[in-house]
Amino acid sequence: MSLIRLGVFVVFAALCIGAAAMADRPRGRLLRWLVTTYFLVASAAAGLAQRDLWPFSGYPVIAESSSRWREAVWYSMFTIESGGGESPLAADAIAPLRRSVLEKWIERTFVHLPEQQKRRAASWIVARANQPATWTNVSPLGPLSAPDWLVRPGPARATARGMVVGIRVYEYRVGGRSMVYEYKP
Amino acid sequence: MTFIRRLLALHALWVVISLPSLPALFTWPAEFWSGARSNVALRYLWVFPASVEWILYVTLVVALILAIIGIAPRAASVSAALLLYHFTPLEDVWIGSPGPYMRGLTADVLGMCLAGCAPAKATWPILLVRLSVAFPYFFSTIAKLYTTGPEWFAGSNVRDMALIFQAVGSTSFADLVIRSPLLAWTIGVGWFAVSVGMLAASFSRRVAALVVPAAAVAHLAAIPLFGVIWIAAPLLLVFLPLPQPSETENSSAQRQSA
Repeated sequence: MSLIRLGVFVVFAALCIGAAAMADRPRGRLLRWLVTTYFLVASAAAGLAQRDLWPFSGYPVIAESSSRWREAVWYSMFTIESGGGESPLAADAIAPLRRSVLEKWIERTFVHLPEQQKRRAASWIVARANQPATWTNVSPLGPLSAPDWLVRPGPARATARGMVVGIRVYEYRVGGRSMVYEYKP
Repeated sequence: MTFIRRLLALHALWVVISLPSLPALFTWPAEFWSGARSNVALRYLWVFPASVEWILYVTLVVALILAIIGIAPRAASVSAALLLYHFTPLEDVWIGSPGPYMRGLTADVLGMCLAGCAPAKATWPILLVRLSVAFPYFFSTIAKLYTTGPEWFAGSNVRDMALIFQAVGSTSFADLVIRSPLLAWTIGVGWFAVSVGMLAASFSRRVAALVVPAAAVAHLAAIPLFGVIWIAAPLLLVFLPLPQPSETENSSAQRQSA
């Protein structure tokens, strides 16, 4: 199935390249017609049949009813500092991963990992949180950077490098939060 | 088409430069990748060593810059489209997302492909680029109707959605929606009209003049009310009325005769 999905895009790109190469030739008109038809058919197949053919898109984003909002569950990761305090994981500690992706990853993957893998991932995050900021985890555009799609509270940069000694993961429900994982080597 | 190619490339460059170390994700521990679907690497051609991925990412930046300044614009546009296809889904495969829809680059991938094959004075690629921006609005409505039904657009559902975003902590102004059924219904019905109207906006300047500003206002309002940022919103500029090639030729002919 992956090959078919790749093929849907590759054929489109090939048609576009062919249309560009033959722009001034008699066959160019046929290729332009093919590009248009293919674009419309592939888009309709993805959108009307709700098939995953990205970048031809069904866009099934937030399509569910929100009536069960009281059952919503989400996760957040906090760093534990050497003084014992905790604070939300700084964005640059997980860059280029966005906070919304990290939190979804915790929900979909992290909490289901075996203990040993959880510890490996947690120790890696702690090490990252203690590394000095470099160009690799700070956008050169600063506040003009493309934002995460979901506004989430939390600092952009860690305040004290070398002070992070562990992490905690909290599960949030509408009524409150509970700690579901702690890593303190 | 030059304006649209530059707009698409500039938008894509904005997102790409905002994530300067995206290829580093290829070297993150296996635990992060364990939620990805099988064969996903084949679909997006993630088959190269990490060092090659870095070279490809720099190539993507160079291709987007060339597309903006107009040096070998066709080759640059198609190269950029292929590389955007390669890199855009990188984060989302970890979370079982149905696609990288919230990264804002979906229309750019298709649009840069079309920009690469478009003759300078042709109007059909402009229409297709506009459709690639409009389809996410329209097909997301289809998805909502399939999954939930027309009640997705009801005031009660909009209010419940605001309650979720408020609980998550992404917004401090959700109360405005929660406490005002009129506002919630206006958002629901208005969003349905905008989502369906975007398709017509691709074909009609008059509809575009009405629907596109409404979509822009909706995206701006969604930031304080729901804490949701539509990163592809700048692409609404593709609906700006562009002079048709015949109009450009006529006006330059008039200038010459004057």
